[in-house]
Amino acid sequence: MKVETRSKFFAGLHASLPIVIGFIGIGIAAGIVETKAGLTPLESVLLSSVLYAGASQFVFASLWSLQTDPFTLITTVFFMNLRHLLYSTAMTTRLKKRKWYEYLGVGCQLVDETFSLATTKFNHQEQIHVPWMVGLNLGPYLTWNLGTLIGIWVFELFQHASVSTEVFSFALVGMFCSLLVLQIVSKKEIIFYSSIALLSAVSCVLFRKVGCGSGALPVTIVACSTVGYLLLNLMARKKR
Amino acid sequence: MTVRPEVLILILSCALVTLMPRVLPLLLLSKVEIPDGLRNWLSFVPVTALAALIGAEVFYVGGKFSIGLQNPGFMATIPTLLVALCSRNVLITVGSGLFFFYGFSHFPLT
Repeated sequence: MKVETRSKFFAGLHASLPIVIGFIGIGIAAGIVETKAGLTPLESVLLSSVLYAGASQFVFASLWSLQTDPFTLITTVFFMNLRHLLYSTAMTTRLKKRKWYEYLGVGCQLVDETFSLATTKFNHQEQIHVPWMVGLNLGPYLTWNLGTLIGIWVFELFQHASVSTEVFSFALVGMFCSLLVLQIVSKKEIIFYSSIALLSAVSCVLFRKVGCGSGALPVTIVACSTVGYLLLNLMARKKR
Repeated sequence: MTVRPEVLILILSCALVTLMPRVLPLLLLSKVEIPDGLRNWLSFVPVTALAALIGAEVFYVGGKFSIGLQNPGFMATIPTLLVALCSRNVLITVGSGLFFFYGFSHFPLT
């Protein structure tokens, strides 16, 4: 490995530290919830290592314990994770002219937190180095799986005691709050972006209410991004 | 240490439908020049996605819509956002968030 590659990789790994610490807690919660729902330890490990998608693992566990039919379960997970389509598309402008396996490696571990951190660390025009991104992705991936293992172990130990995972799950919300604020303060129009964020949070509830179900998340993201884009263009035109 | 075949198939199917949106745009669209309009539109995605994820999480208690004092997640989110703004630090924010959440769930104001 070239020295430069290695130092970029470790810089990415270092940048992932805030995510890593949060992921230990939520990973533990995932391990507990999954084994509590009736999945075997090895199945929980597979879920974290192969699916690796925070919120949808909790949904997988709860739908599995409710004996939901496979088609509903798979489509629910599909719609929940459809937002990654937008993350991956947004990353293409920052990762130009790479090899296919580099895209595959970066893409398969892309999660809300690493995408968000990568887009705030680098401004609009800058290219992201692949080793840096691999480091940023790998730290959270490994700790997520470590957390799951600890969670499974904790559940096996205290099988009869009721373990509350609610507090751990709130770590995810805390992380989203922090990343959201970091995103907004990196923009020029802070009040405008805050209003769009509020609109998005409320719309998510409304879209779920009108029957979008698990598709509410991608629908909200597309709708609110479009509203924001149109309003920003309108404001720019008025200024001219 | 067992894996039931039906669970394995379920996990692999879910992984496949999650992997596709994660890698296909990178593999296919990276060859194409993305127009400025779409690029600007995409710059909204991190903000709207994170806000929607927070909304999906904190406006509900046990699957039921709820805002106000009886919802500890909702109550804790407000000071957590303030800490996020003041500290600009993920770790401090996650730590205080857990503290607020614990506080509002065990000592509700109602």
